[in-house]
Amino acid sequence: MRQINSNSLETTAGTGDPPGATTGLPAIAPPHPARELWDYFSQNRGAVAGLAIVCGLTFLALFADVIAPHSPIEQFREATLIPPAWQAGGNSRFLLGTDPVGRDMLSRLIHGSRLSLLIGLVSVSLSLGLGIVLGLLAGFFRGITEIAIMRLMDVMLALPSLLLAVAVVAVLGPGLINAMYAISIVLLPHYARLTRAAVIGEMAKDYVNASRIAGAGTLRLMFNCVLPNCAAPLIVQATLGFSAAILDAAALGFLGLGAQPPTPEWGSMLASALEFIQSAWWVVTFPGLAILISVLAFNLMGDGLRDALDPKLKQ
Amino acid sequence: MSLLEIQKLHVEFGPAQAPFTAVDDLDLSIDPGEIVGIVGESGSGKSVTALALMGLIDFPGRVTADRMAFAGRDLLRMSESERNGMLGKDIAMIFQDPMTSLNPCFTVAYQLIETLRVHQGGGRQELRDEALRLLKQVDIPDPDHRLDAYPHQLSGGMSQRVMVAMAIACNPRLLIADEPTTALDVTVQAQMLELLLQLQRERGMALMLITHDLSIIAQTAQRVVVMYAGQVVETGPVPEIFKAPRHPYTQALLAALPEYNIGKARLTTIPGVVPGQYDRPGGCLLNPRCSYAMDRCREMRPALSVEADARVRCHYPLDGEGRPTDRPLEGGID
Amino acid sequence: MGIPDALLEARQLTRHYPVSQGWLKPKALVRALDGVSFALTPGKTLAVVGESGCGKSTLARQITMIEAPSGGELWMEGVNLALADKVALRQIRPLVQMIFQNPYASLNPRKKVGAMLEEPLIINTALGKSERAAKAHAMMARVGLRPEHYARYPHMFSGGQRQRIAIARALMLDPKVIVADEPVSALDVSIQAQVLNLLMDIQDASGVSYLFISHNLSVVEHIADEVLVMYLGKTVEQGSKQQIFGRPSHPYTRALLASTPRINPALRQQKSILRGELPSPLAPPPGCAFSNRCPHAVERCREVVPTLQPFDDRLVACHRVAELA
Repeated sequence: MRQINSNSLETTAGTGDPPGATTGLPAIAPPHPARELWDYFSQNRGAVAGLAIVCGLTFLALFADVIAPHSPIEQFREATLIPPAWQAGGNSRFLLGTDPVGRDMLSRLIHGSRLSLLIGLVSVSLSLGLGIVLGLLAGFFRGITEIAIMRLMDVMLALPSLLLAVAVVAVLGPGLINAMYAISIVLLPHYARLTRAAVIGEMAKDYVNASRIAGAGTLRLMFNCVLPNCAAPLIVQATLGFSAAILDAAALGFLGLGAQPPTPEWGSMLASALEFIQSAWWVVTFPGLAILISVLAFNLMGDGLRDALDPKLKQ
Repeated sequence: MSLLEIQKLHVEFGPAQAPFTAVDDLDLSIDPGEIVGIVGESGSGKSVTALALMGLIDFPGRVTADRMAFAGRDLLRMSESERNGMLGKDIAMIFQDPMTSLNPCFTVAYQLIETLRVHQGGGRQELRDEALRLLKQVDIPDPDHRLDAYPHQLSGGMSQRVMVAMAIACNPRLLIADEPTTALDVTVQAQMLELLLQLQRERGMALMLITHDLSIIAQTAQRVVVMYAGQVVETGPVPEIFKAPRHPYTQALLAALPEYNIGKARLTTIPGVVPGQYDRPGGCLLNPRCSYAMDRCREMRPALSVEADARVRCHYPLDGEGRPTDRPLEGGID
Repeated sequence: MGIPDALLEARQLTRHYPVSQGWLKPKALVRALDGVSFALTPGKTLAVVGESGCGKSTLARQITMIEAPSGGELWMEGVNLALADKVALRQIRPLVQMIFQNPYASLNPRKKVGAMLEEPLIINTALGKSERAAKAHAMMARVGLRPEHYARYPHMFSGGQRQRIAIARALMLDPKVIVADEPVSALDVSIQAQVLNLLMDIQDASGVSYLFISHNLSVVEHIADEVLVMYLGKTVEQGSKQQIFGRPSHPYTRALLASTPRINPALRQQKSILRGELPSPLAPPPGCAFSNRCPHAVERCREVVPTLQPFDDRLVACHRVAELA
């Protein structure tokens, strides 16, 4: 049986009556879309928490040089494996302790946030950009173009993401930049498929024909007309892609294929500290926690964005 | 005794401090076997009325009424399971868009049999035979093959007939049709209305026809209820209400139809738009748009007059010539 | 047969769509539009009447140059649009604009009203920013929108207001022909009247010609000058409004008029409920497409396709038209 709630009632939102009409009441301006988006988003407390954490991370990343108490690569030979400040043997100079070669954990974590966010930003931007173009081409031109592009994406999706990343890095050589390229390639098919599906859905609508009849060429139709309407699922996927990128970078770093020492990337910090999991727990736990919290924050934020941008859930 | 009796139905949505009133002070009664048309434009509350009657208004909608009874049973105080036993069996409903009213994942046979099984029960072959019989009753050509078809394989008219078959499966005493022909072509619409009338005659069902199309009501219904912005503004028998409407809105609605403007260069229009959530006027809801509005109309909300069969909610209802009376009706506000 | 002051002339316009029936079977042909001819004159409205599957949407797509016809000719400004190249099409395009049926899908949800109205100007003219804004505001006033609507998004408007925006957009390039595809079907009666009046005011003021597609015969009776009735891609009857509504000749036209509900009993026609369904466009019957539903069909109707012939001051495609008159 069909259920109803208030959003399927037709009411007049604007008050654009023809000249000569008398309503005698002031017109109420509808809220700005950004304001409306924030209203929906802020109702989800998890999402707001996620957003707060992401903002915090961004802040740390931007001002790492000023905030971190020490340099992330400076080794204090006399202070190796010092436990966190609240434990016995701790030192207030190194709040979260030091690693096996005497580097301050806190500073390394703070600088690591910069790297993680950079990885997320670069990887997602690259794959989003290329994925959107491929998806637009496939969705617009259909036929052989679509088949070629989508089958290529299918092949990429058929390979396990980590193995694919490892393979790319093996070809390009280890290093943080190459790890970012590898991660972009791994994320690419998701954006391409999403864009293509959204484009096909939008192309069926009349406003695209209206722009065509006004004389819009293919490029204008693609980027000016259709793409903005496909933005919502892409934004959500991009936010979730951040967390995937951080995890993948950590995995690559763990395998020794991503950031190379002494770069303070969270994944490679984990890798070099495994043997100390029982004797010096702080060397392993804090990088792991940092990864966990940032991935969680991005996921919560992405979920919140999806709910806020989904017109069907609007009240 | 009336089959359906509703007094002072009130449905609102949204926060309690600033509610949106979808239906306000609605009285409606339907006798057994009667055909009643509910007419109104968008925002008039006609569909919400039907859904409130069926108990399909979800939280945060709030439904209150002085009385809402079907065949003597009180709908307001009924339990969930009692109501479910009644829906589909004694009261059935068909909706506007046949393409979304049928479940696309299941065959026609499955959906018909599901309805029958819930309310009647019986063996598999028995139910299938009954389903076939129903499809024949609604004039579906080649019903054997159609039974195993999926909804996307049917045209709009066919899907709507399947909907009607599902609705009449358990011999309801009241069939509510919410804009049943709006999405259909005009010849298919004529077939559908003919079918509904035929079924109504054969089974003695009461029919509540909700639509925005006055001409369908004129050809189908016995009695009309005209709604505006959630309120009933006029009720009356067909065809008298169309020959001599008593409420200015009914008059204006008729005057805007192309049928009433043959030979004229321009159609007569009603200025303004239906009030929405934020701009409900004080006094009579129509007063900003009514060409006969007087001071009393702007200050006092009129009540529905109390005659039995032709009621009107207006301070200065129109007479037989279409002119407003010059003295206001007593018993103004409510 | 060229009509002297015709803005747009269609001759035997045809459009077929190949439909795959699986890997091994040959492709079937859907004859969505099969030999339709008409002429549009300035300041006049040609109504195309028919139900789902008659080909009126396909016709709209051919006229607005979204698709190229499979056959026939389409003449405008001395150019045959059916065979024209991209450059010629780009020249003629601003002269033919369209208003769509669904006001909720025909406006880009992510564009403000001002941007939507200015888009045709950006693409086709070299006007500066302030000139475009001035034109947009002028057009908004003309269709009854207020200045503050310029910066609003479509979801903030009702159905009637959206159609006004759509009409404004169609007028921005000063077209000579506007194809209106069921422009008022989705609107309430009172709003319908307002929008129809607006369309007629615009026609009186600018001399634009309308190709008005609709299945609502009472609306058509009000607004049309000429009427073209279509069934399964072909024209079945074509003539002036007075003739078609006064003395309909084709059985399908009569059925349409009889099926249209009327309030005034005096206007109601003999009730003749059509039985049966539209035949599948993939497998049209060998003779007249209407023969399986026509109450007057004889053997000849099922075998031979009727051609469009002059009869009683109009064109009719029916074998028995003289007997049934």
